[in-house]
Amino acid sequence: MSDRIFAGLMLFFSLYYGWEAYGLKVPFAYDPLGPRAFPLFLAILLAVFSLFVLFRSKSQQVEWPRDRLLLKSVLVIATLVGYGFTLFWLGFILSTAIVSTLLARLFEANWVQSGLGGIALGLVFYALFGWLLQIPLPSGQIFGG
Amino acid sequence: MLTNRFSILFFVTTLAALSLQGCNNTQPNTTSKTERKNLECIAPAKPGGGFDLTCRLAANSLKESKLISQPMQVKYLPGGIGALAYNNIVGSRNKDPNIIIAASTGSALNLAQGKFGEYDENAVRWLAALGADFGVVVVNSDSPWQNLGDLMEALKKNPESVVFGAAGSIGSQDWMKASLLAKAAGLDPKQMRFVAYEGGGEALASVLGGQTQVCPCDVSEMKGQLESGKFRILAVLADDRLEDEFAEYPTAVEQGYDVTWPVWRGYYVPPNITEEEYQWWVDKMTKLVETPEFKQELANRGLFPYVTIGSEYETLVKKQVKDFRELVKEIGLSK
Amino acid sequence: MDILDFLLQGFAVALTPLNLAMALVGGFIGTLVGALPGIGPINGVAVLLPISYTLGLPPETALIMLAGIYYGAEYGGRISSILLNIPGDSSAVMSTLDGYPLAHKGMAGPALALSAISSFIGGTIAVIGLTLFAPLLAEMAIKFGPAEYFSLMIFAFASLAVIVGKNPLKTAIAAVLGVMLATVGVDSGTGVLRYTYGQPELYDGIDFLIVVIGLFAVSEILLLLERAHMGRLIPVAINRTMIKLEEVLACKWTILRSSIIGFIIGVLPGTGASIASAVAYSTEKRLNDSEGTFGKGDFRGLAAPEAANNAAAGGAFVPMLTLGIPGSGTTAILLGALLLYNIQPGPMLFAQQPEIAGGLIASMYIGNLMLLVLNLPMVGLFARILLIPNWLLVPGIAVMAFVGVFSVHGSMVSILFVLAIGVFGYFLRKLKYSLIPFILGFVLGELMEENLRRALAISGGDMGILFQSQISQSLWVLTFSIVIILPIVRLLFRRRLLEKQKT
Repeated sequence: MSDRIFAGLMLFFSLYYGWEAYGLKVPFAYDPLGPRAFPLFLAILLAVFSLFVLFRSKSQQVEWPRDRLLLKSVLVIATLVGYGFTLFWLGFILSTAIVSTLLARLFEANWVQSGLGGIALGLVFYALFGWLLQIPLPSGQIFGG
Repeated sequence: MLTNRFSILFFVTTLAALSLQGCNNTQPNTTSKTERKNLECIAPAKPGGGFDLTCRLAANSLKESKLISQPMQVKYLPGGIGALAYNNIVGSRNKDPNIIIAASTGSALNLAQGKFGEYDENAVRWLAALGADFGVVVVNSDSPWQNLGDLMEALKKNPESVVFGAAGSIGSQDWMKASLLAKAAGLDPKQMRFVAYEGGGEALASVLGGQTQVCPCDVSEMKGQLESGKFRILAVLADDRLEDEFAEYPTAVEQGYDVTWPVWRGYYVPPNITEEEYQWWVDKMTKLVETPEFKQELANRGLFPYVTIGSEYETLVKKQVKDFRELVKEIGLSK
Repeated sequence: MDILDFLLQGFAVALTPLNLAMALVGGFIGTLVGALPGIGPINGVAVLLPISYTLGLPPETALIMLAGIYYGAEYGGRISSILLNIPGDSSAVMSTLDGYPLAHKGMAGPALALSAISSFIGGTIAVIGLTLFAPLLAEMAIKFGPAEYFSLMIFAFASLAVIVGKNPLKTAIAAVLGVMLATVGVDSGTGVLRYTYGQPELYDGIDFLIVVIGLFAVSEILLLLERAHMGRLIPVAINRTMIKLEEVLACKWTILRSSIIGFIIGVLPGTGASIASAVAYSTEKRLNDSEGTFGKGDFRGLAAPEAANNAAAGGAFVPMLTLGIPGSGTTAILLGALLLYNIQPGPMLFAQQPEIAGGLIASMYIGNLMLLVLNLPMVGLFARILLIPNWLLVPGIAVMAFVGVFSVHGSMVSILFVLAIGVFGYFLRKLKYSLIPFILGFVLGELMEENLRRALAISGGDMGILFQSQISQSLWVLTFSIVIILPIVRLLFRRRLLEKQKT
């Protein structure tokens, strides 16, 4: 079933993708194809393949995450999104330590392991990237960086 | 599925922009007049390109000439041939007195075509141009064309017999050079045969391999290719002849075709810094260009001397963008 | 004096203690930056170049160090492919196919060792090829125009079908989706914006780094979570750390063939190591995979892409040194490095400054050797990464991925984009779509469209240009034979086998 739903979505996507390509405004082009032909071709290809999956192929069972696992998966992504947001605000070391701690918790470590691991990762990676490889890392806006 | 992703992207972009803006109000901009820390040059591209080179020119020569005590960091903010950095500087980091951003003639050309979004050339403060490169018309040494006149004749006779191989698509600097040549031959630029490659190297290789006939390249790309005798320079697109190893090549102007294409490399600063802070940069740059360290760094990077600083430079950029706007309209690419 | 004499002189210079030490330093830094997903040789070279310039190292020493970084990084990129299923760069994508299953069979050590050995052989064959045939190959490379590139792309896509086999329909869909993602951004032919939705972030297209880190690293984190939750996480044992001689010998023809394929494809400017490793892998799979072990942890399936991508990395030096045209992003940086030392690669380098050319090539031999010397003893140490518990490993992967993206893009939006692609990659993997055709489609699709349109722009719309040259014609014949003739032959062969079994 999941396969069919995905194929259906791909079919819609191919229509949208093709429509978007068709609507491109091209002042002029030096090649006879222009920027529209190739995406249109791709859209047709994807549509045909999706139709095949939708009607011809055997669908296989997919075990999707449920309950606690689903919640944890969402939390992992949320934590990573949070990383993106706090990186500039709290700076590399602090946000890395916090995010690593939370991720470790989600992977079933206890608070002591998580906390120490988080702090260690923050410091070790700062030493590695910021100091050794001299990659400019955000120092944190709350510290005035 | 994917459409969803884009709406999510749009959502987070907005959020990101908001949060950045929110944070920026608290940014400290009080630094002493003489000494500054955390200086940065932003290259609005990935490492390794022309903007990187422009930033390293400033960063290295400022440090080597001891005009700044702490090194200037080079950071990269790639996206839309500089559009992303431009929007970011005007939109959020508009008060930071410690950053300069690399720019070039290409930036002015993009501004003229409205490729930097809602902001125009007046949205930032232009600081200085420190060096320049020049356009050059190159053909394979097997080519029957001995000078620019021969090429122009061929273009007039049969536009399809001349294929331009260039680094950049319609609206890019190389395309402008080719279009100006086509116009000088009395053609509509839409009539020429034009192939866009990824970079100058690929374009030159296509001339070498015979897939294309002419490269509207830059002089710096010809360094080290001259002695090999594999290429022939038909014209340099500068007002006057260049010096040293390039002195023997005639300009287009002296061959009777009024086509020039200087490529300056310079910097702009955020729009809302104080006059005092702007003047600090102007002073540093004015001192810098006199130092032997700077001259060495400039030569190392294959650039030609071309210095314009401060208000003079602001006037120049704004006039250039205005000229480009006219030119783009004339060639038939206006929006 | 002959170039070989200069090469010997170059060796004399390269073998001084200082230079050997710097080759080691370069190799170490290179392995380090290569092993970190998202940080590549470009970062290593870009960081060390100003330092070595400021320290006033003589040009030959700096060159040797740079060569060390280059080869070290090429090798280091495989470590995360093999151990974590996260390719460090586009040329390491194919190494995940058999490398990761090998690591999960407890063979991480031997896999890493084999990767180092095939990389070394591939790299060395490329440098030998460079020494002997550089000017000749350069002539061949420039004859390769847009029409020829287009037929090469068609050939590469045709090879794809064999690479990840079970469900050809899903392979095709994944590849098309990858190509579609590559159409985002400024159209290189006309400058028209496609699928950018007014976001300047998207004007240059989506960076490979963002796609690969999202697809592989983020989806891997989610799958790890799932396996841990379901109690399906089999703790990885490390059976042994060294590879056996007979295992290497069993791969000798694979390594040799792949090195040659890799070198030839690497010579073509702009194509590089990702196509080379894909073509080498599919060739070996076609020749050797009679028992269906490829993709499940076959040593040959790892040796092929490893030998090929290092040979291609060496091949990329041919157009750079002989024509002054960089063949890849990293060689572009190296070109900049040479210019800093007033060495101008190009047609005249071998004729006018043979001592520099000799020194450079000697340093490539040394850098390549350093990679082997440095990495073989560390194989056991690297393999221990697998013993790190998940609760420490996963944050580590996340931080490295973010820093990788951050170091190139420096914006939060790109980080969020990585996550979005990662979630999409997770869905693909759950639905049993392979990520390999997706990522190869992403890398090759753009080249395919660009070159097709360039060819047609040159000919003014005449399709005949695609079949004009001998090179394109032979590539079309090759494609035709693997798509049509080979399956028919296989079918006949199988039928005959069945008949034999009946009688």
